[in-house]
Amino acid sequence: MTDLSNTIDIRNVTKRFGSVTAVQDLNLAVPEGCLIGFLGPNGAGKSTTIRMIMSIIYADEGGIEVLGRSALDSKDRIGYLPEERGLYRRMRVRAFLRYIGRLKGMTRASADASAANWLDRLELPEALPRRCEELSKGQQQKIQFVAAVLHDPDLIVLDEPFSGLDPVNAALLSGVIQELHDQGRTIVFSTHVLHQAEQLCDRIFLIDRGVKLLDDDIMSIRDRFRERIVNVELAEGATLPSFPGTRVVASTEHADQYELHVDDGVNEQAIMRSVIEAAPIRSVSLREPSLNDIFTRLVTKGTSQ
Amino acid sequence: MSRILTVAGREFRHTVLTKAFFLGSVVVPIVIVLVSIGAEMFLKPTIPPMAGKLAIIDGGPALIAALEENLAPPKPKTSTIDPTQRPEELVKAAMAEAATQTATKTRPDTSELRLVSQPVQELDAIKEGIRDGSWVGAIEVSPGSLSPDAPRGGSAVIWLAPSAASSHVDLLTGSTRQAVVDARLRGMGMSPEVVRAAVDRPSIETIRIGSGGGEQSESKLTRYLVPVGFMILMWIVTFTGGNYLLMSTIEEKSTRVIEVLLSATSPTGLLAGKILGFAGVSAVMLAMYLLVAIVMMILFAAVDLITPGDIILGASFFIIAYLMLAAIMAGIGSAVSDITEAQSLMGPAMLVLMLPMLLIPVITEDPNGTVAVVASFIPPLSPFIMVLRVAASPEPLALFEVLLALAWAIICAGGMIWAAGRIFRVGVLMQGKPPSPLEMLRWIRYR
Repeated sequence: MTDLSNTIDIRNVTKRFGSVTAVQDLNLAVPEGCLIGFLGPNGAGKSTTIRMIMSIIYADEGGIEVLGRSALDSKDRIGYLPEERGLYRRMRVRAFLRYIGRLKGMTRASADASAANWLDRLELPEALPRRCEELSKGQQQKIQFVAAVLHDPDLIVLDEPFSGLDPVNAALLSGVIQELHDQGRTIVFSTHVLHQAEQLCDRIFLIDRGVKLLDDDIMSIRDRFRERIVNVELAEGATLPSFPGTRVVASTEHADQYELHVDDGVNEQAIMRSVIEAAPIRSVSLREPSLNDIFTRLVTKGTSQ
Repeated sequence: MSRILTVAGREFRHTVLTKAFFLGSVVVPIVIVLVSIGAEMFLKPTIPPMAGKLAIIDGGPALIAALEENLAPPKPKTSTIDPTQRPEELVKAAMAEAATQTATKTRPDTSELRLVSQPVQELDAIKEGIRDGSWVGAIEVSPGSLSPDAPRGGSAVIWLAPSAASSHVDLLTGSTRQAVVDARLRGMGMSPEVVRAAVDRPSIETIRIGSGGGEQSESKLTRYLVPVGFMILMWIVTFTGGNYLLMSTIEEKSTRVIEVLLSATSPTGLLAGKILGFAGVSAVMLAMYLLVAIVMMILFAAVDLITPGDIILGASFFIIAYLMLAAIMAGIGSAVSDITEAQSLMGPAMLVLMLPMLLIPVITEDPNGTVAVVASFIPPLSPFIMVLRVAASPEPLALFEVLLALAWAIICAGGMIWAAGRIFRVGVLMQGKPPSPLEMLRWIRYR
């Protein structure tokens, strides 16, 4: 039964490419107005899922409804920024955006007006008469974002929208995405940069090797994976003894940094005091798990299984 | 449908409204027409007159008379074209007259040329005179050349100034040869005019008697030139249109813009728009070259060579040929990432596509032979072969055979477009190593 308040309804979807199962028996409901992050390692099935949502490819089994209709019938109401981005090199920006707007059902005049408005918002009004090949990579990225939102879509699918952008432009785009979300648009946001997802998204969908590992809102995820972690940075040459009631994880980047994952029922303050007494340290602090920790934990668990 | 038209419109505009297309497909045919029409006005060759003294060394009166006759300015001839002739006869007569007129116009004026007989002892002084311009040149025919049993037809030497025009050389060479033969004939008591008339070969008209009792004159012009010309034009135009489609698909795939397009329209819609857009491009090219052909036919009063039926059939087979080529090109374009990869897949396709060209002599020689009939039903050869057969057949092809071939070609074109659509849908999203032709066939079965 389709829930009409869901913008995307994916039911028991399986997609295979030859002998490889890219997505397996996937169920996912994206509520209207939600900003959901699609996370997963390379080859997890994120892009395949997105391409099925966009009806660029079709599921072998199961069904997908977008905006209450078949995905194909909803194309005009979806904006899409693919991971593999490109423009017609010799085409002028105005002509390109007009072409995409016309394909999305806009009139020539409304496409032109919307393109001018969006380029103003993205601080790139001078690009309109220029050829796409004359623009920098970041500017091309902005043009492609405009192509995705030009027709005022109800659902916006952004695959790695910040790649290729400098920090200033990334912040500008992040603000625009937040603005669109505040206006009630449903946004699907795929990224490898987990702290961006953590900042922007109110829901997370985690997939690995075609299987859904996680699908919940950020608050629930934090509650579910609540854990106390003591970060320890040792003084040079010091060694860290083991502490009952904790699991030690050494940093892969810094040889003298460790994480002590505190077991339930163990006092974290007592652990921190024991650390200070047991070894010369530079710092010790307490934190909650980040999305990166949860991601790593779930994916590692999935791999070990 | 509106999306298909949007895609078609973009492909059409971005191909036709480019300098390269304008130069190649619009300017070139217009230049051909202008050159054809204006050649008379703009390309008149400047032929210097041959005036002054021409020495004939040791030439007897018979040779000098024959040379004077051959070097005299030609008398103007009245036109032999009869407007009531059949079109092909009219074309033949017009072409013959045009050739005569061209020959006359490229002949130097000899009205001021004077032939002077000189003994061989004067030759050195004459050579000096040729250098300083007091003599035009000298002709020395070797002794015995006027005899009927002269070895290897005799020989002669012509001395000319280094600056002598090639038209002067040609005229003196041809006239000397002819004069020696004429003098020889007169020495034998024969009239050269009578002998020439006697050895002039007759023109022969072949008339095939049709099975229905009708008679049809066989003209090499109509039998070969028109069908072969149209088939080659059709091949060039459809191949060029298909090539544009290939390049456009490769560009969209290699620049990754394809995924944005597929988010707005289905692969089938995108392919349909591209095929339609480049069909328009091919139609513009065909129209431009047909315009040239029509102007030529009007110039040669040969418009009757083409019937309305030929035009309808030609247009039908043109559309089918384009669809078949477009299907092949779209399939290849979607499967590769750059032009180098495309070339490796184009190799086998080109072998097949070149077959209509290779079969031209076979089909025109025997339009109803086994090879012609079998090839009429093999896609993508069928439209090209049928155009050749319909036009080259001395007797009209049976209507059922034409309709059957047409229907079969339409079915095949539809099947090829469908298969290309399936391959296109999978291929445009594939990256990396290009597939083998067998793998591409497997894509057709993918869901």
